[in-house]
Amino acid sequence: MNASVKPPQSPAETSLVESFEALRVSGVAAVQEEAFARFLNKGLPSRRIEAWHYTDLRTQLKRAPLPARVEAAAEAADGAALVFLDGALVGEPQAPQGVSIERATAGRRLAAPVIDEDDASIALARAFSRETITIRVEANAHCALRFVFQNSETAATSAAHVIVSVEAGASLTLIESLDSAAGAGHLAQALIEFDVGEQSKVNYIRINSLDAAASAVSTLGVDLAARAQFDTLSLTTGAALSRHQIFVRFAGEHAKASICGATLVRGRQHADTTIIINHAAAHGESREVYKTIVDDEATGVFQGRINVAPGAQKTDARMASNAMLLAEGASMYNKPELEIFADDVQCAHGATCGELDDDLLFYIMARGLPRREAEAMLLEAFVAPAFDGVEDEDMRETLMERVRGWLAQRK
Amino acid sequence: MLKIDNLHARVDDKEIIKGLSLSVKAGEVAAIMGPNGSGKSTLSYVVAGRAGYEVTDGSISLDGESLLDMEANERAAKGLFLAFQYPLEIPGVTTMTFLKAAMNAQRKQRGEAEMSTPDFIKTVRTAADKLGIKQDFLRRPLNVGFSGGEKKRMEVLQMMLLQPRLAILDETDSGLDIDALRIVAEGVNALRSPDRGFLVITHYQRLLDYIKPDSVHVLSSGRIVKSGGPELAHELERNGYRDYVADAA
Repeated sequence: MNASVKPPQSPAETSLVESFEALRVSGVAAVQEEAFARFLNKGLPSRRIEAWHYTDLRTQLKRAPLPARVEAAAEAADGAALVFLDGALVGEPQAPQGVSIERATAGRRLAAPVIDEDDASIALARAFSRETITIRVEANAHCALRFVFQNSETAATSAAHVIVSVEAGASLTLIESLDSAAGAGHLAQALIEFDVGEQSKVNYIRINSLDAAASAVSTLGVDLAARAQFDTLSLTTGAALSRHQIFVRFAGEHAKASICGATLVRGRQHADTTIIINHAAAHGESREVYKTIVDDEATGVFQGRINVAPGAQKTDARMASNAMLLAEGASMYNKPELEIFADDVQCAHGATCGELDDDLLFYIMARGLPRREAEAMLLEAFVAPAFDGVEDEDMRETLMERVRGWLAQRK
Repeated sequence: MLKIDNLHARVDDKEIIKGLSLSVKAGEVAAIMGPNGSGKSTLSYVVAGRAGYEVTDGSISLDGESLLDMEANERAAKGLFLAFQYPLEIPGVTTMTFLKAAMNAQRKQRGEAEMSTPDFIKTVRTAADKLGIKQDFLRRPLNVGFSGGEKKRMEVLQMMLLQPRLAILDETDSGLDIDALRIVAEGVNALRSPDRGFLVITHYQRLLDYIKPDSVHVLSSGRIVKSGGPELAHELERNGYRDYVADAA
């Protein structure tokens, strides 16, 4: 270890050092060592770092468990699913036609700088990624894939790193699920990078239903070539502490991105979504629609920043984040930002925090619906616009069903 | 059927209903008329069970059962219906979805089976046709972007589907042109039956030309100050409320 490294401060940092020591026993690559040294140099992000102001990992992350032991691949994954158990890809997944899946030691990166490598959480994810899975969708291929992130009954610190390269004219539908065993205090990290080629199209749906004992820190990086389209939707109901950060770079002209999400938290959950959209090329169109419901003493965070570079004329960027607070103790930090250096653009952002409307509730109850059902009706309608962009009706219904399930569990 | 006795109610510590007594028999259409600020809408909210409207004294019962400890939805399931003066818009909830949820919620609370979807759709379409509500409206979010008249028709549609024991119509005539008023009144008249009561709250006598009341009560300063037959409405139309306002003051 580098001698100039600062001593770790918080219990979580100390346990991360122990955890990385355990990883070394089974061998780590030089790039992992280098990434861990960068992490240690900065330490866990705290509220003093602007991008982490509302999610202080240094204090909110209590401890990081040891990594899972490396085990021989268990059962083969079904169909076009990549199953990750405690961060490690299980078996040799079958690639559908037009797709290649390659496993390599850790350290690969997207050619273009999309994500913020100064972010200590990203260095930490790189340090704990034993390998990089590279998925290549051939030009003009059309395919569907699933990522299944499972976390076992034994709490573990883990990280998965995946690069998805979608070549020109191709299309990919990707559905990702995150689950963990009840009561296991995992620290599940993921770094997923997309290289979206010219005129290609990606539809990426992510469902986080981790157990309320787990923590999740994940980063999504997206590089968009000319006329590429990237639509993503996250539904988050899981994890005690979650941070999902999304970096999108409009590298080519006439690219489009729709970044939407619904976050439903209760108890003492803390869920943070942080989005940075960089319009670096002209004629880009970006849309963000986020809906957050916060119950009990939970906390929601939405930070969204749209940067428009000097040359990115005719950019059309719109961001909306709406939150609904259901209890006195619920909190929401809603922070939209625009930074525009081009003069011929359309940019808008809106953020709201509100409560259920008493007049509406009375109206619905006066028609016979009990209070909780009347509230559920309004909350369902509140969340639904986040799913408007989901073209597949069955998928939209699946998502709404999960929302209804969450609402039905309200006390 | 509906019996209100010595009702006192307040909103935000301000007493609005001050010892109001009134009863509506099965099959009766009772009209309540009164000047602005006399407590007409407050009375409808108190009877329907709106939160924040506190009853400090007296009683309200429907079919002999006290409503006071019931939530608004329980009162609805008991057969109470309030047609709102200003029906609310519910973005994101289609009219069909809303109607089905309301009907089934009431049935469930009464221990009845849910209505099958084909039966439900048929029932709604038939009722909508009678009120001149286009099918297209049923697929739109409830009341969103509807005109005042369309909203009032939607209230009557809900009443037709929910088949209440007692319906309160809170200024249903406000914001309606003559044609809409006639359609709405026809819808209400079609629902008149020997075992259903109506409490029609209005500022103007005009509505009562279309919905003929059996009794008329004048509400002023939170109390019924005069009761009579249909002729009382005509007297009010001629002389205004000034006699009663003066009385109360």
